Amino acid sequence: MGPYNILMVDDSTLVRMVISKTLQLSGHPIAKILEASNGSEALSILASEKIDLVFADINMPIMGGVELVAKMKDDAALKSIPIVMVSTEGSHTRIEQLKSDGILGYLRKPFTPEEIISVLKEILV
Amino acid sequence: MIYEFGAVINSEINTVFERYSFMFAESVDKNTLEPTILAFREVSMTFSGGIGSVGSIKGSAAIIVPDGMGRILASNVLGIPEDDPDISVRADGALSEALNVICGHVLTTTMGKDPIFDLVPPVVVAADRDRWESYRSDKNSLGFIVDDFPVLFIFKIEE
Repeated sequence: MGPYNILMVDDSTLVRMVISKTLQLSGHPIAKILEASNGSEALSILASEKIDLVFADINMPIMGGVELVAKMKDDAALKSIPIVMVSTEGSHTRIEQLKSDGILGYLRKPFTPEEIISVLKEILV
Repeated sequence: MIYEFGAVINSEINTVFERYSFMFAESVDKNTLEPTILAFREVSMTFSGGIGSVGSIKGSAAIIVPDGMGRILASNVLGIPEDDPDISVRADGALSEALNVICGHVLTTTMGKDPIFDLVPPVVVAADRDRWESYRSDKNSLGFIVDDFPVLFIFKIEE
């Protein structure tokens, strides 16, 4: 399968760079890695690009990850795109809420490259 | 409710710096820290939230570090040399992310996994020696050596 288009949504350029580097070295066939610094920018990209997987932070300015997930799940064209949340939060309450909203995975910062690759293996089959 | 953050902060700062940037953090008496430089970076953020047993909470976290530490942090996180042109523009981002992650971990460890917190993205500004001393005199500040860098950290819950 693939190659895949992956969208990374995080207000930290550094985090986007780290994930991007890991994706490029993961061995998975990646066509494009697109970046957004908040949920609003992500929705603009999702409206114009075919995306196979979204990595999204929770706490971001303008539009955070929780609202982004809600908007994607409300949109027939976007609701089947797998979403992995990447955040510093360890709140089980929020993670369970997001899982019930439809996210497929959760990575807690600081994450290792192996953890990202493990998520890719589970989702991009 | 009275929270005891000291031991948790020591542990989380050590864990986060090691896992995030392969840097070793050691808790020290803040009064023994004597930076030899005059320029610093100050990173601060606020948070709010909570439910259930902890009620509603607001607070802040802040860190002050010598100018230059952010470059080492960014270099380690990105795995690229310190003299790479990308490093200087990523230094503040690396410091912001470090504080963001430390704050999230301290909140989860002290408040448990039920409460939900919203963390406002950190802000980084230049600071001078006077600012360092104001951190040191804050009753909530804790001292660390991160690799060879003196660091002061403040974590506060509003009463």
